[in-house]
Amino acid sequence: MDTDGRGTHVAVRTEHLTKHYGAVVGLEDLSLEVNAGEVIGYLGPNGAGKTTTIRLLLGLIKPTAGRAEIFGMDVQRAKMAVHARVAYVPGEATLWPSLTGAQTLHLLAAMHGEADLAYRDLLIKRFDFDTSRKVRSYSKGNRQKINLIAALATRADLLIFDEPTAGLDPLMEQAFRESVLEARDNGQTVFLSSHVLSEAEALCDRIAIVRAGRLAEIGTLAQMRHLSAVTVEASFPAAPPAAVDRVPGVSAVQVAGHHLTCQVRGPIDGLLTVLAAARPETLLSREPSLEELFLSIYGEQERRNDGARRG
Amino acid sequence: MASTTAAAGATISERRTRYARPQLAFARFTGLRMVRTGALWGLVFGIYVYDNAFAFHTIAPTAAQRDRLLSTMAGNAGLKALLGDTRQITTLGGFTDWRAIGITALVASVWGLLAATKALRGEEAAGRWELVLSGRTTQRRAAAGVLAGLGAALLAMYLLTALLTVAAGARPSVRIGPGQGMFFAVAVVAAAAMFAGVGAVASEVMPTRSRAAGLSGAVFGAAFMLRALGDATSSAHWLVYASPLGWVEQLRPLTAAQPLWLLPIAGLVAACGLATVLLAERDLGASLLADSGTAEPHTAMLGSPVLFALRMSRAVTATWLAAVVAAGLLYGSLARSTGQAFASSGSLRRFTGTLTHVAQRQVELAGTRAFAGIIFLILMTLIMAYVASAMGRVREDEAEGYLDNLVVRRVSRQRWLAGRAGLILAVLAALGVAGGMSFWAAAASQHAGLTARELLLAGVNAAAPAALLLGIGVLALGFVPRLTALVCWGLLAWAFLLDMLGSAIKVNHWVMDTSLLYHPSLAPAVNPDWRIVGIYLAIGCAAALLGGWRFTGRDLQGA
Repeated sequence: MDTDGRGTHVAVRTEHLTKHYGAVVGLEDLSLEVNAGEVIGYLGPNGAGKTTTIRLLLGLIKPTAGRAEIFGMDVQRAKMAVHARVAYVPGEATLWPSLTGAQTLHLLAAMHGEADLAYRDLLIKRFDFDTSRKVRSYSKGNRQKINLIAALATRADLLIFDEPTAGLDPLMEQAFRESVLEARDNGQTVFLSSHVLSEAEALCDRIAIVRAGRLAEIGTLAQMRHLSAVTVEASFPAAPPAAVDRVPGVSAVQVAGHHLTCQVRGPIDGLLTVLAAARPETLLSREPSLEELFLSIYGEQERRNDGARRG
Repeated sequence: MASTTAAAGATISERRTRYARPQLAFARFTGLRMVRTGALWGLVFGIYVYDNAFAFHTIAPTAAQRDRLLSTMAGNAGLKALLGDTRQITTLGGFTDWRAIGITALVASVWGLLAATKALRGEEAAGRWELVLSGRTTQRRAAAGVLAGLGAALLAMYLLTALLTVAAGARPSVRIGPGQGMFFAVAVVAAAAMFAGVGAVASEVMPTRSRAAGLSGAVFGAAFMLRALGDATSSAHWLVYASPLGWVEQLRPLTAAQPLWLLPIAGLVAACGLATVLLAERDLGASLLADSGTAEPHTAMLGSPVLFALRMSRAVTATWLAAVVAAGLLYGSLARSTGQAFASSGSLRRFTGTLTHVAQRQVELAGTRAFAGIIFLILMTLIMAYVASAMGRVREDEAEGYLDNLVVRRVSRQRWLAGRAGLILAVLAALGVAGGMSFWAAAASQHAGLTARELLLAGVNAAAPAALLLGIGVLALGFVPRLTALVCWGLLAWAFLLDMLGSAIKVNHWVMDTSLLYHPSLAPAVNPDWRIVGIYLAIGCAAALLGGWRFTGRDLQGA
């Protein structure tokens, strides 16, 4: 198994990974490391480059520049060896309509070469999946269950999920989370591309956020929160102090009647001084949720882009 | 600015853009999509009819020789089974009725059934009807919209066929009246309309597009067999009247026109249309013959990509084999009587040359072998059609994402493609052998004097162009994946068209060289040219290797 300079096992490594589709940038200069046994969330809006990254990692498409390794093996040169250690769940399940669920699971296991059949039976129960029906008669969620069960049952060292819970009901989403945590406890690595921020917040050790084909942010949730603004909410007996707008580091000030919400980045004492002078009735500060972080990162990028355009 | 202000002050309802007659939007959309292919086929049919008008004059050096030749041909059972009734074949009109309708009615019928099943069951199975039916339409109205679209395509087909037929008829050497030309185009399009109707009903009966196409294909096959048997045997001539293809034959637009036969044709089209619209009022995704939603968990042939591909294509493969065997048995049983007619007339041998350019340039065509040679040329075309269709499915697996499921596991792209190409190669070889052996079995029962060995070798020879087409198909898959089906079908259509045109007009040999049908021997009329077979296989292998190399190195590409 590949290790980096600190002796940590590395499951996924990309170096300046780039993919252009003609003039369209699919992914630009992505350098990323995912440690073995880690659950990494890979977030971004539609068209940000998430699926392109995954297709590059699987060797389904070739990079325009840069390279990617999985467990120290180049994904383009050692595809078969890489695939032996990877299980993949695509966002959209394209399965053979005339096969039953059981036949599809058998086929996918045979093509992978390995499957923990006892665990597969457990997963079938956990996902409440009827294997006797033909794929054409399954709902979208049930088709996705086939992919999930097939991938998880391989017990592969690296699980790559691309929007895996699309179409699943909340109970099944819970079953999925349970399975991912189980995989992590077994030492498996999970690369989770998702739109469901609460899912990433609950499962992931680290979060990577991509935007317009570039890596915008990566780190643990705690690291990101530290770098991001804190949300402050306060209510007053009269109108909130107008001076809040002028406090260094304060942004996104919103006033609704006697209620004020704002965000502050860096030292908070200046803001507290201004708020205290207006004798607040309630004062609440909290760290941003992943959703707020996500929106904040995107808002920041938009502002930078706007500034660059004006400049 | 005023309009902006007005828009800003308008209610949401007022701001909406309104489209005229939304209930017809789907019919318009479907029609526009189908008109293009209908027009394209109309052009092809028109060119073919144009070609026939000239072919008549090239059959024999003099008019007297031509008359003698065609008189001899008139009673030939094999040629009747092949293309239809030879009544009044000594006239240009009768000859064109026989030769042009014989071919175009078959091609138009297949187009009709494939177009209808694709537009109805294919679109529904792909999930696009969910969106359509959530709009301002109902299932019946949507089905009627597709039928209207098919009607528009048939109209485009009719206009181009009629235009070119009338243009050909205006030439002094042809002299077919405009009315006759237009009625002739009706006969061609009638076959397409009937089998489009059959395909539409099959789409309501069957739960998947492939099964709908299979059912309507079976109806077409039965219609063809009835027509062929009825034409070939005088005691069972009534069978012609039981076949929709026989009704088209009975129209005889350029000789003794019998428009009354339009009645059963119109009746069938109307009945199919009505049945389709009535049956369309059902649950989305349902069908008259319901598909079992469950199945026993048989896991045979799921252990390797090749076996899996074989499992998924076994019904299609069995259908192709059955069709080839049935055709081999039918024409093999006519080999002796037809061969005797060929042997008795020196000028008759030359007649085979009027069927195709390949036959025309082959020497020493005589007797039963000459007839068999023509049949094996058709077998060559059929096997090429199988390859084009199979390569289309290979590409579809990549485009639709099925391939992703395999190559993200321990299945390399090389292994997958080699397996698929190997499977197609095995089936095309089996089709050649099955065609040869079934023809032999039937011919032997009539003591036609053909040996199993020569027909086996003729079958292998007939598979050679398809093997080359397979190589070119893999090459296309590697370098221009989205054009794979177009390249394969295009090469087949090009070869067919050149062969037909080349039999009537002089075509530059460099152009003829581009036809995959031009070079192989017309075995068993002449001995197979193994040098050509070897060259075809070598080029096919080289193309396949190059395409395979490119396929393994390129990005997988969606639709």
